[in-house]
Amino acid sequence: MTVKTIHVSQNALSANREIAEQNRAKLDAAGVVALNLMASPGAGKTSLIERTIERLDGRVRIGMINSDTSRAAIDAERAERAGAVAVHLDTVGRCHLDAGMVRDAMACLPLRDIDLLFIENIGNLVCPASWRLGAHWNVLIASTPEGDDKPYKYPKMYNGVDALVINKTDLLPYVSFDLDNFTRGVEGLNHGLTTFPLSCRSGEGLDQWFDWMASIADRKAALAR
Amino acid sequence: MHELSVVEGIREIALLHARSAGASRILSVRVVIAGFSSYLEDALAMFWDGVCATTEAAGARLELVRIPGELLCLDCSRNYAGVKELRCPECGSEWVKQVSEECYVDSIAVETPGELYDR
Repeated sequence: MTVKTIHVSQNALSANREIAEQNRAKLDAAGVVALNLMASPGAGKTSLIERTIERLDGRVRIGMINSDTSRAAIDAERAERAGAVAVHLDTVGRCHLDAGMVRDAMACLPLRDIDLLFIENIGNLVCPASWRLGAHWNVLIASTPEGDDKPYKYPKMYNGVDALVINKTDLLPYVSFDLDNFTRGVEGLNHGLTTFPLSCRSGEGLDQWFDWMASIADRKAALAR
Repeated sequence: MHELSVVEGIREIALLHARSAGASRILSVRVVIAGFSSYLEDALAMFWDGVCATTEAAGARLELVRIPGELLCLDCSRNYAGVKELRCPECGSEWVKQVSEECYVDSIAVETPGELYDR
């Protein structure tokens, strides 16, 4: 019996990163563009997905992987009613999605019949920021009732995303949300971040979001052809 | 609760290296965590035994070492060690980014079946 020490020097999340890269390769091979939607609970992740499905119906084929900490597939059912193909992922209490869970969920979807895949993460502004899933875009949905201090309190989340939605702009007259202070915080963490102020309820600002969704789906389809 | 996924990642890395070295058992795993990391040592330790049970890492000791992480100020370009306070000690800027790894497996100690199998 021999005891020996092996030097490793490997990031603790490297196993996750590897699976995330495999997920990305599968998505690319099937011509799917995927978005990892992150937000606090109640920010409007599912509402934005619903509006997008309704508007792009017949033009872009949309899939959804929904995750929640329980079996209640409420959000996946909402997406299905709106016309998407959806799968519900029960994390059994876990606070974020990881690449392995997404790999398993992807196996349940007809990827070749999907152009745009929404991966709705667990409502949480902390943990999801650390786990890459293989999605092409990491998108954060903030909402005005949460308050303008969130970039300062959850810097890792704001720092790591590729696009930002500010939902519930129709509530601006009624809630304490200093847009200047919010924007300053975001700028400090993620300079020049693409931002979509909108309201899923009133429809204000949604056109810019729809245009972006359609354009990334089209570009992906052109590449896959 | 994200520490559960972190320890699973640590276990996977340890198992991979142990298997490729032909080890029969993992005795200990040394993990380095940067000062700025939000991972809690207690929570990592709590999940460790559970995720290792039924693998070659069962009973392995988890050694956690916290070191100051390296940060870079994007305003004044200064590199500094971040422990709890992330703000740049030079200019006070909050526009900083982490340069060093947040959490990595440094080394593992393993038991191999003997010199016959060693090369």
